[in-house]
Amino acid sequence: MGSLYEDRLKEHIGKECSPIESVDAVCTQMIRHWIEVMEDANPAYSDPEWAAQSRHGGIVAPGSMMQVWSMAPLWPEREIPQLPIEPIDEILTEEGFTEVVATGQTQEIHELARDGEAVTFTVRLASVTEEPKKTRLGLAYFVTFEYRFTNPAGTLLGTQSFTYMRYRPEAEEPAA
Amino acid sequence: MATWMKDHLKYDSIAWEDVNEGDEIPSTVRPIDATLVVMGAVAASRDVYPVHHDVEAAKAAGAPDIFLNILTTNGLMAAFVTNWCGPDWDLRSISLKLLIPAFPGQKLTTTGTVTRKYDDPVPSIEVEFTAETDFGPHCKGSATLTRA
Repeated sequence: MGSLYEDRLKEHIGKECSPIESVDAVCTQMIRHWIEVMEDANPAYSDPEWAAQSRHGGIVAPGSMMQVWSMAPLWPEREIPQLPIEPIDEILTEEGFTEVVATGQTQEIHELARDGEAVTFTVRLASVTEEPKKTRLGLAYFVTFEYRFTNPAGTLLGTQSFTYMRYRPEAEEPAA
Repeated sequence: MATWMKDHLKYDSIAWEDVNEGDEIPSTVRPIDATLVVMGAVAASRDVYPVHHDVEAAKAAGAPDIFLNILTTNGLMAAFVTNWCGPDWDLRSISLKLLIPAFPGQKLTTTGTVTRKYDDPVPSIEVEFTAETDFGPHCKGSATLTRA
């Protein structure tokens, strides 16, 4: 018998879902909810006159906000293509790795999303650690996936790789 | 646009000549309260994972309180850098590692340094930043910016 990685996880690596369109097009309201919290003072995001005469040609959304365009609605439940991280989450949960915590991310920003434009994204499973690693919280698998965001013209807006660990809480580990 | 908003925006930018490797980005201190955690998760990033707005859910997951979601941390770090250099700079990449969670009642003190300056193919800088809570580092990261 091989490892969990060889037997069940590896086959999902590299899989990518078909494109999904953001629930809302980029809009000044969602941008403002972001910049209010971040206290982001860039007029490209909130001053229409400045933005119109700038190199952006109008209001744009912060690149750091890209993942927001991928978030699911609270209601109603939305049918979307299965994300390639779902089978990994199911398998690891079955194996007792029930808790999740984000550990890091990297965004590459190519173009800024413009006010009024929809954003389309895909998710690709990039890697899963071959062996569980000991962490402060318990034994954990690290899962990395990558978003790709495009605008309606098909231009790449940016990519975001995201790593989380799925861990088996220490207390639940069987006694040796 | 309303003056009350304009007065708080940053229209000026650091000149290319005025930034050098080793320069420190002026540190900022942001108190973290439940409003910041909840608005950051629910309002700003549409993240309704309960540990970011429901204390009982956070406790069930082993945390003492609700804590900042990674989207908010990322947005705070991006704004820390771009509020310093100004709107003539474009954020091209930002990378961060999360260390210890940030809970209400903490202060987030962010510091940064310019680590690299180069102009091939375009005028660019790299910066590193760290955000500390009262208990230790919440995140460390780096960013690349180009001058328009």
